[in-house]
Amino acid sequence: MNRKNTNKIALTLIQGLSILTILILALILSYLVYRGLRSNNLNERQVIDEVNLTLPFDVYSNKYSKVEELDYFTFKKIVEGKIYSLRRVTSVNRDIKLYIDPSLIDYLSNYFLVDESDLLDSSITQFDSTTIADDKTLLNDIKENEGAIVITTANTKLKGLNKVEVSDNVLVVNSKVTELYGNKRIGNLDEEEVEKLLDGQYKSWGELDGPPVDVHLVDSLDKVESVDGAIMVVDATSYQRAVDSQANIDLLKVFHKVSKRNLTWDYLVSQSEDEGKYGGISSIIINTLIMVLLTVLIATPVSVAGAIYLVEYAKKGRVSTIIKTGIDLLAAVPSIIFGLFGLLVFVQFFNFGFSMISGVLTLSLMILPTILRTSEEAIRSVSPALKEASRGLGATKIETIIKIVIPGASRGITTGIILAIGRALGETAALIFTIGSSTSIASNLKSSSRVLAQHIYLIITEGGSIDEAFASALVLIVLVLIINSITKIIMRRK
Amino acid sequence: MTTIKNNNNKRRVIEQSSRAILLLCALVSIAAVIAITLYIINQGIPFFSKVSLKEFLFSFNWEPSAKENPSYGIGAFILASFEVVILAIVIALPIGLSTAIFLSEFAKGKLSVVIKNTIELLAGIPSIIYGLFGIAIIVPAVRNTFGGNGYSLLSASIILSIMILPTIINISEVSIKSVPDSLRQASIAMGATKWQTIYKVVIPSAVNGIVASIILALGRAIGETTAVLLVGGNSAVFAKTPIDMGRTLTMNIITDMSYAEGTHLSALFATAMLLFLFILFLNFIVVYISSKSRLGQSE
Repeated sequence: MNRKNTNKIALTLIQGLSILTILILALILSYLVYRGLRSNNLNERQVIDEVNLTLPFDVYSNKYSKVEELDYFTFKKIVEGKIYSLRRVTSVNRDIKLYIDPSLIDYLSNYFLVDESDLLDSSITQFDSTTIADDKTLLNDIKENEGAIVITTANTKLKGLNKVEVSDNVLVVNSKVTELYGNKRIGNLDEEEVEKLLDGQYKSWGELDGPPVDVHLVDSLDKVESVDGAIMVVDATSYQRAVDSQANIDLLKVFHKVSKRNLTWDYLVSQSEDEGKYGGISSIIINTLIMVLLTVLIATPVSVAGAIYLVEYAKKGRVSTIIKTGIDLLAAVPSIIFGLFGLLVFVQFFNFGFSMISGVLTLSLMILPTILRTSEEAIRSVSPALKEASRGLGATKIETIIKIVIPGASRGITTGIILAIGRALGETAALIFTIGSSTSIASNLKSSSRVLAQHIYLIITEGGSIDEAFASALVLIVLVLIINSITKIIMRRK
Repeated sequence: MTTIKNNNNKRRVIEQSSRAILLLCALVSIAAVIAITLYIINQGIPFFSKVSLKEFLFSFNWEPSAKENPSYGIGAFILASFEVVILAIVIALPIGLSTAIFLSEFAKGKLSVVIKNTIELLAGIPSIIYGLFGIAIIVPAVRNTFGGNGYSLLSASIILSIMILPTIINISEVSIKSVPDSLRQASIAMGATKWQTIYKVVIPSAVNGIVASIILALGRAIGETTAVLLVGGNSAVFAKTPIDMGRTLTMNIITDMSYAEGTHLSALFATAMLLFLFILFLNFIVVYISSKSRLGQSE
């Protein structure tokens, strides 16, 4: 009985652990797809998540700018000209161009607390909201200007532009609340905490890592200033006025959950800008394809020829052993060592520099064993009868090889090439020190160029956005999956 | 008559020269291996005229950019490398071996097809993607479970253990499959359960292949760079526990390579030399084991 139980437990365990491999793969792939398609971030904001719908103006932005919402403080800086590029707003590398309806200037200068003259600056284009919908030249200008932000009177409908929502409510507290207390200070609040706070569910600021002061919901800025632990929601303009007159108040920052699409068509097809920090990855994808193509073009003839020699010519003995050992060892060399070798030989000795050709030659050596081994197997399985028939008809050995052996083994050779492509696509360590990092399309063999896997590496190590890394990773894994399925299809046709 | 003769001569010349070209191509691999070895040694050897081998291998002090008395000890990195790969094997072996047994002893039908495809895909995922996945999932998981900041040798081991699964599974499966059925039938006929057969008969007969798979996996793990670099923390200080940040040999090479010069640079090549030696050594063990088992079979 005991024996049978052990048997049962052991077999279940074996099956369970085997299924675990499927779960691991499923986890990796689904997580990559999820993060590749969606980005979820907690952004620190000075305003609470409430869109002001009663403003007498509407804001539109160019679709390319990705501006869909603005908080009061960012918007103020844009109007003041302190933020002049969208890089600080949506990470899009474009300068901001403002379009303002002059009838709003009076209101806007009071709203943002800026001088009217600032809003009449020559860099700001003026227009009339009532006729803009018919003004084709102006609309085209806005659509062509990727950093355009347009402020119109309320209820102006503009097609083909993003409607921007403006949030301007802030959480103002008595400055006692944000003081350092012991070694603690109140941190950023999340949505749930803000809701509970305004609902009166917290009695003391201590519950939020603040000082042990009671929470008081008040209804005027004067009270916020005079009552310890006071809090109220107020419009940002009033807050800004109070701060400008040195009031004893502070602002509680909140976390804003942003969930949006990550990998977009735009990202795939647009050019990379500023060494890959902004823009898309089209040039990097093209570089990757060029690199893979060249690598295969160089490695295939050499490996297939090597495989033919091994099968058709090499007799069992020293030469064949040496060749085989060479292949086994080459396959075992870690990619970082290939990288160093490429650096020493192709980059420095042959003086190719950090270039496409250095990377391609290094990778060709690396994928050589993959193609060679698969081709060897395929060539070995070509029927000897066919070869003998060819020789019997008077063909020489090399003629037989070209006309009979290679066509017969072509499917296996193709499989090897595709496996090698999969390996080349994902390689990073061997390329970091050889291929360079320029994001523009390689114009010649000696130009420095960046490929997809290396782009992901550089984003992470240079502190770029992890969302962008996931977007690129999704593209890479899709390419790898496609390559994998092609191999499958070819092998199944046998 | 002469034209035929000429033609035959021409064919013979083509035959001879193509044979030579093919041989040349076949020798590219071994030539590359020799060139790699020579280049790395050539760059690494001068280092030992400045720093003794003993200090290099056993000192835990890596301060190559120090103005006065720079030190080039990679002891901490050697230990970290071994710690990471051994932990990775410990994690991967139960899963890998079970899967290999499952595929060779039980698997029929859909499940085995799915598992086989899974392993192929796992082998095809680029290491940079494993690294990215590690940053996003493994690092926070280690941080929440064991404390620390999550970037640790343990995280590196977990990522590596997934990466070496295909190697362990594929090679073990082949050697388990090659155990003759007569042995299994004899064991079952004696009244042993399926598990007893696997545990007492199949695994012992396939042990050479299993060991070979582990060693090959070790080789792959010790040479892996990108994935471990992203999750390992890369701190040049000796990691006292697996949940501390640490630096392996490969991480050391890739981190400093972009700016190192002089003795520092040759220290990196010496590190590469050591890494290459480890890998050669592991491969010769595999060759030895497989030749021994081949002899065993022919007897």
